[in-house]
Amino acid sequence: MQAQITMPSRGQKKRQPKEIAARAAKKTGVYVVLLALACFFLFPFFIMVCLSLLTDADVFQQVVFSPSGTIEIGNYLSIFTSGSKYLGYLGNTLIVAVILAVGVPFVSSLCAFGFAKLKFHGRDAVYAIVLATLMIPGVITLIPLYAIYAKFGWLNTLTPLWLPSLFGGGATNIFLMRQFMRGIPNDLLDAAKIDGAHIFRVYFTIALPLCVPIMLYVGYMSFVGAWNNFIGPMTYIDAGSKFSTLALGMYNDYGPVNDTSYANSAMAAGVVMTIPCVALFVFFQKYLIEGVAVTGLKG
Amino acid sequence: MKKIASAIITVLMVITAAFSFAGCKVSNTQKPDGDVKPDDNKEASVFLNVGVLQRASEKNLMQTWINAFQKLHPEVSITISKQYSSMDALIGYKTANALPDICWTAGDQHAEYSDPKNMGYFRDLSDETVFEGSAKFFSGFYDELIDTTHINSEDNGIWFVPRDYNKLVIYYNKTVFKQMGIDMPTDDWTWEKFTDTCDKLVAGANGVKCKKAIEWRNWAPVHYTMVKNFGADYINDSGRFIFDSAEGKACYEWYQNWVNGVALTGQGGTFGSYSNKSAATPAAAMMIDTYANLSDYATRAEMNNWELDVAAFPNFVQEGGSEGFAGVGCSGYAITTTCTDETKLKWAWEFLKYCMSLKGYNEVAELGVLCPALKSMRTMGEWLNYDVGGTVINYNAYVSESTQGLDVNFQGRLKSTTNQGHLVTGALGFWNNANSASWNSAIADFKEYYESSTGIR
Amino acid sequence: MVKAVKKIKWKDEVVGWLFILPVVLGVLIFTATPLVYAFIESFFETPLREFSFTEWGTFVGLKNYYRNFTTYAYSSRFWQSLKVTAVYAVINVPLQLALSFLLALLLNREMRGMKFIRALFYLPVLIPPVCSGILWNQLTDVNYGVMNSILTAIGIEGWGWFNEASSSMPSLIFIGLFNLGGSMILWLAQLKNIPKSLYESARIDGANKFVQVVKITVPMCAPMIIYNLVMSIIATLQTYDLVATLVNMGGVQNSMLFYVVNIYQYRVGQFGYSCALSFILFFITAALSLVVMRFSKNAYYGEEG
Repeated sequence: MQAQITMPSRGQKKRQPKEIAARAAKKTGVYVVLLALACFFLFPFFIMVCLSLLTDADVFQQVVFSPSGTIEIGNYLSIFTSGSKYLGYLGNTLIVAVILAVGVPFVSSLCAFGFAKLKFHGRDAVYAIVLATLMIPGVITLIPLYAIYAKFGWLNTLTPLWLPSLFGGGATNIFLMRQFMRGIPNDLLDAAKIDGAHIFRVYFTIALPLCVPIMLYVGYMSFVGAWNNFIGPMTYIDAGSKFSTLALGMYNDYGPVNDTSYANSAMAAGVVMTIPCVALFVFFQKYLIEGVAVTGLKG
Repeated sequence: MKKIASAIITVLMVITAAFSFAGCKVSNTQKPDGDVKPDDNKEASVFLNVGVLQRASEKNLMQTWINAFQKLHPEVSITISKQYSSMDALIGYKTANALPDICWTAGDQHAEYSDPKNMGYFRDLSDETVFEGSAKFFSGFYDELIDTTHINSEDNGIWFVPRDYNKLVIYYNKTVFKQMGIDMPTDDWTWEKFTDTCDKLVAGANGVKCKKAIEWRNWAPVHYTMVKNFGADYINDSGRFIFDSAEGKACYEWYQNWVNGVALTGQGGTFGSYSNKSAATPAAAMMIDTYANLSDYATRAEMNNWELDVAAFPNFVQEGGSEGFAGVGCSGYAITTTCTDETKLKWAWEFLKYCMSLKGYNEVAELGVLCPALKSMRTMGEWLNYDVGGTVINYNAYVSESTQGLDVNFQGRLKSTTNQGHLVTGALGFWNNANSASWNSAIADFKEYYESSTGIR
Repeated sequence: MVKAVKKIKWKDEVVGWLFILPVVLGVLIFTATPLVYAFIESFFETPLREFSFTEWGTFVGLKNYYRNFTTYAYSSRFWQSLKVTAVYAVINVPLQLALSFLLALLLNREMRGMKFIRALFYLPVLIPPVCSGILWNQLTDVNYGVMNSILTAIGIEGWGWFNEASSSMPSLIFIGLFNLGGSMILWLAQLKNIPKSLYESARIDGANKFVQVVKITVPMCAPMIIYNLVMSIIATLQTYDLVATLVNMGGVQNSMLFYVVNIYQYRVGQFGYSCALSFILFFITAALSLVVMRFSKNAYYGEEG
């Protein structure tokens, strides 16, 4: 009896071209869809940059590219000439953002260390209260604080924007830090304590260096939060004051209250305000992903 | 990091490619800094603060006056310390103990701030003992403006100095009129001529046809003018709501026909956006507004190559042959209760008297921001020479006597200034919803709003 | 049973409290005091004034609370603001969660350039809300904005954007679509946790892609869905930055009058009333948070026990 040679290889060879073609078509299909979606998501950036390069005359023609083919970089130049209002806004925002980016990680890690590693009466109760403040909407404290700051004389200065945050850094940050610190093995700390180190030294020299990733995450979030903060400056700082921050300045110069704004200067201001956020995200991406893993929160 | 960076580089490359494809040239003209810079009086001994509306034109106007005044009086130094976009910012300043000595105020919103029983921020300027020469000074202003400065109809105090005479006028697009061969509006045109012009604009001629004839601003001077011209009113002298009358209904229904027919509601953006591109179908060829926005329309006209001109508000002759009304709004400057020092008060008063004088108005004429509030400057003064991009504007329209000027403080009949605020808000809300709502439901809402917030039933 | 009581040294107590002193002071001064002050002031009628222990304004009892139901002047705005905020929250949040989930499914494959595409999709989230609001304000201007000329080029005429009450909310939801990248990243992290073996066995059993998604992916992500849903709704109830920079004072016919915008408008003139409104918001937020704590297994607070 002749053995039936089933020739599986020939059968497979017959299927493969079709399969490959099908897979390739599917892949191309996916890429096409992704490309279309990418254009959609890039649209805001694209239009922001394009509009910022229009001349004053073209702005009212409802065009994306200048019909006369001129690229106007004057808007960017006027932002960066010395003495421009915009540089003032930038300076103020940078001051607040840097203070918070440096200060908040330290303060929140201090408090988190207390909650995580130290034992004292009332620790859990206080921690529960701190977490409970997360439930409070921001607006409910914002308005009475105006009256309180009026008493302190902090109105129309930068102080209300950074000083309150340095008192603990906020419940979210303390929560994050504490989660991270619980992962530090107690033996390390005990070993240092036995060696006679003061508890603050233990915190500073051992616990803190281990928390660098989460501190970078908290620092980044604080910086971006201060950079984008709008309702705070709007409440505590007057329009047109020399202490205006970027968000407030943009709102007063180009926002809906102002009916004579030109789209190109507004867009140029917007681009300059966005670039640091994007740049920072690029640099901190690695730590942000770790931070997201720890917390499960949005980056 | 590489991924984001390459994402950004892609975006930039796309944009650069697009531009270089179009063969572009780079221009670096910066916007001219239109700000008037403050001059400092180095040896000043008296320091005053001023608060102005948050607009570049308002700031420049005040700064020009300040610079001119400081030149004449080196011992005074005046600073613009606050800029605000709405009157209630003043409350915040008062809380922070930073209320300026002189504040800009809108003519129809000052009552709550002037009323000593309410906020009490402003001073009564009719007091001759504190403010020398006040009676003589105020006698030079238009009557409708002085009517606006009282808190309510029983009050004779003058709580701010009116700055401008903002009578309703009709701006029109001369280019479109010429293209269609329609007669230009004149200062003494009648209401019939006006509606006739609107119909012609919408009907079209010579290949040009307007989508709508006129942009109609939804705003207290306009809506009170309409109400008065139909013989209706919002409240009677004792404060009872009387707008739910046959005349009120007639006015409302006329308005609904108006905005669904030849008019559209807006703030001037449609009128100003006419450009050569849209030559065949202009969105709106006329605009109801006041002097305040003249320079804005003039700039747009110049940029988009069309001719702007202005005519007086058409005379809506009422039954019985009496003249129609055209609402007059104003804004002005008040001296606040923060200013307590006698010397400061004297200088603040001198400053305001200077600004609102022939000399003061002539100083700021080249900014083209206002129509003077003095009767004597009706037909004279530098403001008539304001250059509107080379075109001659019919300035007579702003002071034409073909219709009666109407004091638009309809709320002044209410004694309580808080209730005045409620009526103003209610009326504005009523007219904002007027496009869609039926008369019965709209008037019921308005009446309920008014009666529930003021308690006057 | 005798509980072993751990003796804590007095010195350790002090040190412990010193460590947490910043946050204790912070909560006392910047959270508790304004909260109590706002609560007390919500029973008074007063314009904004400097903080004082003696002057509170005119006492009106619960008027600031019940006038939201009785006085038309206030109730119309109150219910309008609730309606606008609720409509936005209820439509936008599930829509964004669902769409970003679909996007995550699309991107959850091992093809070349996926990381790059992920980064591209995430870019719009980095734009500050103020910039975004001003950008869209300029773009959607009915007379001068570019969006209308683009729409006309496609063939859609006369979309009112924020100039008309009926088109305002859809326009706002459209603008929100650009921020899908943020939720998408979260979903991607979730999807990575699902073991591949589950999909393998399903495929061998003959299930096609759609069935795989419905029967495996969704149930595995279920705990996060409820948590995300409610937390997002709580955050959406407090939208302010985007809306304040998009439209002025609540938009045409109050179509964009969000709850916090309404509170802000009464802030200076009727301070007591705005405090009452904020407390009403607090009660709503607290109620929703309790719902989350009840039903969510991965609760924020659950770990503390």
